[in-house]
Amino acid sequence: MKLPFTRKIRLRIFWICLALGLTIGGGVFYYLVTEEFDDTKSIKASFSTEAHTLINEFDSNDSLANVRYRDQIIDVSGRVTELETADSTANLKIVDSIGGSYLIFDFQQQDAFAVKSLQTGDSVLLRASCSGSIFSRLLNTRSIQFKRTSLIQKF
Amino acid sequence: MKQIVLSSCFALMAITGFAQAKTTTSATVAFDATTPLDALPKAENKTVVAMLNTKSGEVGFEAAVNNFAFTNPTIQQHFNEERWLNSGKFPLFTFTGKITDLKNVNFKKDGTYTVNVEGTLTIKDKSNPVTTTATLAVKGGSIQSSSNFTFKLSDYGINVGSQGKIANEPKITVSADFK
Repeated sequence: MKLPFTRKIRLRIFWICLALGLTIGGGVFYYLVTEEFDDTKSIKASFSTEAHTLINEFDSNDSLANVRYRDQIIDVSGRVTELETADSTANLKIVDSIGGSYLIFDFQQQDAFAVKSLQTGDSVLLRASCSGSIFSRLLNTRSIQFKRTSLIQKF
Repeated sequence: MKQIVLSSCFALMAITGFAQAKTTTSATVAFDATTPLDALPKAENKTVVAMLNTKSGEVGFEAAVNNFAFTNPTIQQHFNEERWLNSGKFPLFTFTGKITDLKNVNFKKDGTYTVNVEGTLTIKDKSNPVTTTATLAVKGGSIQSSSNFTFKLSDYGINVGSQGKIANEPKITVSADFK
């Protein structure tokens, strides 16, 4: 059976649109499923600050500091207070010796080797994603937590 | 004089009790809600506060919800948003409990001990009882502990739909080194 000319065109347009839709949809789906976080080192930091200044900001106004820094990439400079074994790698801590609040950095996989070269007392510049602060009832202290940390510089 | 003696006794008890409580700020909690349809919903938080009291058997952990690191940004965003863990409003998920058969553990003797733990898991301000086992590996005064359990998302008011891409009962694995 021969289709009328206009119906044939409509059908062709339909098939082209369907193919296009499936291709774009599939592409978006593939991108979302396979997407991974970029190397933190390659991301531009939104803020740059000194560790104790950051601790003071959270200690003086926790809510405001959380709104400002949560989920932001931050450059933090400071002196390593503690290196704590965490699974197969280590976390870096900078502790406020007076108030007890601390910053804790979990390193991204690419930097797991670099953190092993650090020692307590080293001055460092770190770039990390800030997860905000929590108040621990177990320790009765505030911690400001970071994930996917990259060691930018060791002074 | 009596007050001074009493105060000293309380202070001594507090110090002795605290000495038995081992803590770490680098415990790991792994969250695994993967299914055969989706391997993405799993993450680790390596900055978890954990506590083990070798005298009373009390155990606990506090994990910052927003510090769970996923490999996929979209899944991490979903995990923290309102219909899931709502980390903006409920920043912590916590467990507090007790080892019920502490007498079977000799913290002064190297070895691996399996213990029973009963406690309460609190997520989004909703608390439910959890019973599980834990392994304590004692070596030279330090203790490596590990445990895992599952929980029902629906018990904590979390509805992830019925597409089967996210496990309705995710597995939690906790490990902590106490020096």
